[in-house]
Amino acid sequence: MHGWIPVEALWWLALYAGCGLLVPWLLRWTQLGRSGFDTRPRKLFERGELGLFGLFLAISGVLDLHRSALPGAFIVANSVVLAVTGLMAGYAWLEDFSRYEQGLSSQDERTWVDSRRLLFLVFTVTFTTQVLLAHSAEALQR
Amino acid sequence: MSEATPANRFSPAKLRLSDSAVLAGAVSLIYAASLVAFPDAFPQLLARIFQGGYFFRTLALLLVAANEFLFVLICKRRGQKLSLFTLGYIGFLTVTLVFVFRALVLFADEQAQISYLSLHMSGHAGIGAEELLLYTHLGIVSGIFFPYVLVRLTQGYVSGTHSEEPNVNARAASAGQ
Repeated sequence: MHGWIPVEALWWLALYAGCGLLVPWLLRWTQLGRSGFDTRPRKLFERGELGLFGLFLAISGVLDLHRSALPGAFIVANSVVLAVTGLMAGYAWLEDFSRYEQGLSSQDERTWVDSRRLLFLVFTVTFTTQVLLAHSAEALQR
Repeated sequence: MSEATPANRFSPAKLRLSDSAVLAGAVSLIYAASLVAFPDAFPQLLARIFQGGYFFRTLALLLVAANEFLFVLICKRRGQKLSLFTLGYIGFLTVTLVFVFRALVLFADEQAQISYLSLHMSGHAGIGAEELLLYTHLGIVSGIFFPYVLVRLTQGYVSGTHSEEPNVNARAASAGQ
């Protein structure tokens, strides 16, 4: 067995987690942290924004897949899986937004839990897909 | 007045879209970790199981067990009534998804055999260990996540249909007046 670290996949993970989650939270923290406002990450993302971020992440994963040299049937099937998980994540935000527009009471706790879990799913599936892409490229080179 | 509504009778345990997301995500992460830790042995293990002829049976068994266990856990945590019908429905959907996955893998296997016979592109006939690795991840994630999405959509459709009925009756009554 030889040592193998999927550097590209780790770079991808750091880029999306940093730009999508960490930087917005840090910006909010630097702007409002001293004013006594609640700057917990939950406050920033509790209306389902994490789900929306999950949708963008899934689209990015699908685009990466289509640029790869993997079998066509796999690209189509994996794109469908990623798209469905991304849409379900985006739906968490859409549902809360629709309730807000209709003047109904917000279900912050439920939206927060749903969007967080669905983002976790999109994140892990896209990350594993990146690891598989890196592994396939490595296997082709051998 | 004390009778249960039809919607409650049909869906004693309400599922949410995100219920299976954590399990599917965790399994996907374990899959990636296994590949990073054992880049040669892990694909070879999958290929050996596939060539042994019990790959899909094992996968179906594991996925059905995981999904049923998750459903029981959800019902216990929320204090909902365990529905045997929903348990059976989840099992049926999981096995159906494994059949779809089997068709996809066999299609890829045939494609690999055809390219081998006609063009001599690869060193072996049939699907390789690397390709099987790709498809297996897809099968596991969709086998855990999609049955719950389908059950949720079915429950939404059933409760939507039943909540429409009183409105239709009210409209018919007001039209009759």
